[in-house]
Parts: sequence; C-alpha cells; structure tokens
Amino acid sequence: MSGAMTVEELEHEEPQAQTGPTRHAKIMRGVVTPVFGLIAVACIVLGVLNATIWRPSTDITANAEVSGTRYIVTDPGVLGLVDDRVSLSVDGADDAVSVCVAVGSAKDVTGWVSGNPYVRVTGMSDWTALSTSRAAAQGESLAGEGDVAFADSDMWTSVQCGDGAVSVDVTDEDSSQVALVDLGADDADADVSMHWIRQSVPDFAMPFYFAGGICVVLAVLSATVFAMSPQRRRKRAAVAGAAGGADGTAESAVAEAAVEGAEGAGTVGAAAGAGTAAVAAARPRRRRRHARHGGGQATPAAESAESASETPDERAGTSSPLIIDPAARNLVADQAARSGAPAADEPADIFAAAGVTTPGDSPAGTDSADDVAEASTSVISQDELAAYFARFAQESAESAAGDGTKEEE
Amino acid sequence: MRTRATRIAAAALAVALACGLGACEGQVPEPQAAASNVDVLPDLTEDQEQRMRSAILDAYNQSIADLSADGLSSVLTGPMLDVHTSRITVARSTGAMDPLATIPGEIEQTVIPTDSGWPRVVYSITTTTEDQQSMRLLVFTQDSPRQNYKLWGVVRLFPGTELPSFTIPSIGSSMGTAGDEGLVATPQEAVERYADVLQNGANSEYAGQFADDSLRQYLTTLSQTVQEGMERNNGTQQQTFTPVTDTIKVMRSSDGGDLVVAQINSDWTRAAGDGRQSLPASDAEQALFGDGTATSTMHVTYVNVVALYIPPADSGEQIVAVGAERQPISVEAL
Repeated sequence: MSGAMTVEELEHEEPQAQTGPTRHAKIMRGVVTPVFGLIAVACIVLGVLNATIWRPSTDITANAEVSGTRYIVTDPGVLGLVDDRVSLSVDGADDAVSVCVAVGSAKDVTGWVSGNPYVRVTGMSDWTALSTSRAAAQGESLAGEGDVAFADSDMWTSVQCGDGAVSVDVTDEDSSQVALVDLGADDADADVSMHWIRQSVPDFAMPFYFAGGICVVLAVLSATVFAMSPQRRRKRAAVAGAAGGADGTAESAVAEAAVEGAEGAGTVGAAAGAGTAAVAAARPRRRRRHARHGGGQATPAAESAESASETPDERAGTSSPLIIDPAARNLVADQAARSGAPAADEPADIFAAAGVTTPGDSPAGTDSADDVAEASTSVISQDELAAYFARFAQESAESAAGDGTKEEE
Repeated sequence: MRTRATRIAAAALAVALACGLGACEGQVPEPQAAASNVDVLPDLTEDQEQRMRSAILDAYNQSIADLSADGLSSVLTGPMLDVHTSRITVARSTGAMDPLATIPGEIEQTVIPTDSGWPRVVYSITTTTEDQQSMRLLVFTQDSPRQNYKLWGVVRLFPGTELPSFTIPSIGSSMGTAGDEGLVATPQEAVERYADVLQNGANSEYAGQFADDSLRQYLTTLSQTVQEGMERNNGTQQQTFTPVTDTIKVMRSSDGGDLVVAQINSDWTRAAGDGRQSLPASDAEQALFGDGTATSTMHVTYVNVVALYIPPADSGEQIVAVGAERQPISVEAL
C-alpha cells in the first residue's frame, strides 16, 4: 500500500507536461503484464497437453493373475467399476479345460460357491491391475446328486463357456450383478482381465484453460487500466473539470483566510470554530486525498475552510441534493448569518471570476460534491463562520490590548 | 556454484510439477457399495422364469409326445413327477394323453420370491388351455443352488376362483413357511384340516373353516356314488387323506394371506362283498391296474395337490381352496 502510494505520489509530482509513460505504467507493462502473459501461456499449453497427449485414456484394461483356485468371484460393483459395460476375459492355464463365466446376483453366486474356496476380485489397485484376495465361502458344499453343470444353472443372467479362455460382455448398472468364473478344475491358474471403455474421462484441460483465460484478462488489464495513474482513471469519469478547478482554488484561498483570521484574532470563537471545522473535515477525509494532491498541503483547519468557501449559491448550482440536519441547528451561526457577512462570499466569487484553475486537478469535480455534503452537514455555515472570524479579528486588532487574556487563548 | 545448484533444483521442481500436471488418469475408482435393495432382488427375472419354464415344459411336452417318462426326474419332482408318470402310463394304455395334462405355454402371472436361501419356490399361473380348460397354477422349486428349478406341482384352478394379489415379479414376493402365524390357521394346520374335510366331508369338525369348493363336491359325490354301489353288494369303501406336511409350499400374498400348495395323498380301499371282485373305478385306474388279477379288495393310491388361500386372522374369512389336481398313481388288488 505504501509502495503504491509512493508511486502515485511520485507520478503526481511529475510535471503534467511530460508525455512519456509513468513509472507505474512501466512497472505494470514491463513486469506485471509479461508475468501474467507467461502464466497464461503456460496454462494454455498445459491445457492443450492435457486435452491431447496427456488426455486420460478411455480404454481401461486391468489384469490379475489368479492361481490355485477353481472359482473367481467379482465383488459387487467391480463389474461397473469404470463403466457400466465391461468386457471380462478369462484365460485359463489349461486350454483343454472349459472355462465358464456366469453373471448373476450375489446371493446366487454365494449359493453356488458355498463351502468352496474362491478368489475375490475386489477392485483395482491401479489403472492396470485388479486387486484380488482369497476367501472361503461360508456353509457346506451343496454339491450333490442331480446337480446341473455350471453353464446350465437357471440362476445365471448370462453364462458363457470356452475351451481354455472365455470373454463376456456384461452390463452392470446398479452393482447388483457379480461375475462367477469356473475354471473347470480345482487349483487352476488363470489370467483375469477386465476392459472398460470410459464414456466420460476427467477433463483436466478445462481448469488450465480457465486459469489461462483469467491470466490473459489480467495481463490485458495490467497493460491498460492498471497501468494508468489513479487520477487519470478517475478523471475519465469527471465531466466538468474547469468548474472543479475553480472550486478547488476557492477552497484554498478561503482556507488561508480562515487560518489568518484564527491566528490573528486568537479568540475563543476562532479556536472553537477551527476545531469544529476540523471535526467536520475529518469525516470525508478519505475522499479528500486527491484534493490534497491537486491543491497542495493544507491543514485540517484549512480543509475545513475549503468547504466553508462554498456559498449557498454555489451549492444551489450543483445537482447534488442538500442534506440538512435540523437537530444540529446552531443558533450562534444563525445569529451570525442574520448579522450579515457578505465577506464570506466575496473571496469565492473573486477567485471564481478570476478563473484561477489548476489543470489536471481531476478530483475537483468530485470534491465539490463532497464539499456540498460537508457544508450541509456541518453545525454552522462555514463561510459565515469564517467571515465572522475575519471580521472579529479585524475588530479585535483595532481595539485595545486589554483583552489579552482572550488573545492568549 | 550455489546458483547452479539452485537452477538445477528449480528445473527439477518444474519438471516434477509438469509431470504431476500431465498424464493423469484420475483417481482409481472404488467399487460402489451395492444398493441396499440388492439383497431383496427377486430370485429370478421374468426372462429367467420364462427360460426356466420353457425348458421344463419343453421336456414335459416331449414326454407327452413320446409317452415316455425317461428323464422326467430332471424337470419334474414331487407330486408332479408321480402324477405325470401315472398319466403316461395311462396314456400308453388308452392311447391318448389325458387332456388335463395340458399345460399352456403362456402365463398370466408369475410370483417370484426374493428369499435368499434354498429351497426356493416360484408360482406361475398359466392362461386357459386351447380347449378352455381352467388355468393352471404351476409350482416350481429349486432345492439347492447346484440344482435347477423343477416343476413340483400343477393345480387346475377352480373356475371362477379369485386368486389373492401378489407383488409384481420385478419387485418380488416373499416365501412363507408352514408355520406362518397371523393367519386364520397356519399353512400346516390348514392343510391338515383340509385333508380332514376331504375325508369326512361335512362331518369334519373343520368343515366350517373352509369354503365349499369343487374338489370337496366332487369327492363327496364320488364317495356317495361308490358307497351306494358297494352297499348294494354289501361291500365297503374307505378313503383316507394324508397330508404331506414337510413339502408344503407357501407364498405370501400382498394382502397378508398365504397361498399354500400342498400334497395330500389319499388311499382308497374298496372291498366288495358277496364274493364279488373289486374292480377299478375309472379308466385311469383300469389302465394303471392293467392286467392285474382282481380280488375282492382294491387299494388305489391317489395323489392330490391342493391350493389353499389362507386369509389373515383378522379378516374373518374362510380358507378357500382355489385349485386342485387329483390323479391315481397306483392300483393294486389286495
């Protein structure tokens, strides 16, 4: 923050006539923009790579070597692990033995293998390997007289057999189906392979594209909008620069008058008035930052006097609504107004008429609006108070020094 | 030197990051937990039931065409095996298969349970036959997972009978047991009482618990007719009904009742008086008796398969026999 302020202030001190890019613009365009640009290019390149040569493959094939068993059972959900449709291939060690693959419900498969050891296919250990484990089915073997051949059971949704090897296509949409492989002989060895074609692969490219797009936008902004000085950015929104300049000049002039009045008279009223003005100026302080840049250094009292320079006529000329706080009505100010203080209007009118403006003081237009709000919300009319102080100081100077006690204050 | 090391480290880090950003297949998927309703899926899909039934009926119809009971034990079991074997024997003798043996290939409804264990039962209700015989209730059983479904019993539904409603086969029904509570009577009690009613007719103490039905009427009429004939010759006749309670098939209906199919064997002993011979009472009995030598006493064994609907206890309704089948399976002269 402090760095940015420094840059702004430095820019501000540069002569307005200078036409070359500011240091701020150089930093933004020479450093920040290329950084964003590089990141954007990197993101887009990575995105393209992820969409092409690094794109996740749609064909997934996982294998497992199984040995020393007759039955192989897939866990529920394994058939549909990658996609609903799977091609299950079993290649037995002995080509002379018929290998069968049946698909059925888990409870039917459990019933068939009851009392027999089997190998579970529990899932995928990685994208190319099936994980397996050995298990023993509960219960007693229900094999007996009158049993049907594995392939002839009514329980299977589908069954397929082959000599030594078999491959079946299975659709398992709700994890309700499991596959049971009968290798045809006890303690047989086989290679089980499951092949899925992924319908949807994870899209790793889009996040890169998105990040790259953001970096492109940031790079463009850094080279254009962010490279501009804040004053220029805001000045584009200002409509009447000349009027604002006159207003700002009047502010500083009246502020000086107020300071002089306070110092010269040194009355209680002056001190109180300065304090009140300082309080009144404290609220819109944040938005007055650029006014200081344009009008030079000003004390809080001077700032308060700035707002005091605005006459009701000027305020009437603005389009901003007046905010009047009836609860903060100050009878002293009212009295002062009734007593007549034409001097308050004079400086503003004079300076305005002289046309003394500060070119490039862009926030002046907005300041006038601020001042309207400031003046209308202050306890007493600032111009009236300043005029009162000036007149009071003048009268005090002419009078005898007998009122020294008050002057000391 | 330090700068060079820093550069190398930076380059290595960049390469590592680039590798990490690329060539990624995504996270290895974990098997999705099976849906909670997997365990209560029907034992068969309708397609499986159709395949199973067609296979059985193909073999059944082939046996009718061939008038051969060879290999029937692989598709028929229980009372149906006895009944059909008897019919084939009769058909060989008479030259024509009993029209009652016809089983339509189309079904009106199937009732498939969701039970996990064995034995399992499936009910299928056929359409009427081409000659407008009443619908058949087919009862298939699977005794073990290593065996296939077999046709255990066929019941001809009584005309005008209204079957209880069952859950659709894609959801599945539930099998009951012979000891189901909450009914007018447990299935076993109902079968035993019905056997008593068949034997004693209106004199049975349970007669009031059962609605009148065609089987009871037929047996009452038959018994009276035979009794009258035997009495004219000073003979006697007695028929005893014995339920086979360990093979009762029970399926719970959606209204809380049970549809029970049970085998009730009956032994009919007819003793002729006045030195006369007791002869077979029907063509079927004659065919089964064949060339046997008649004596004064004839013992005929019948297999009856009955279907009873047992309503819930709080329904206040009677037990209804919805269908039956009856076939003599052996005739012998004592």
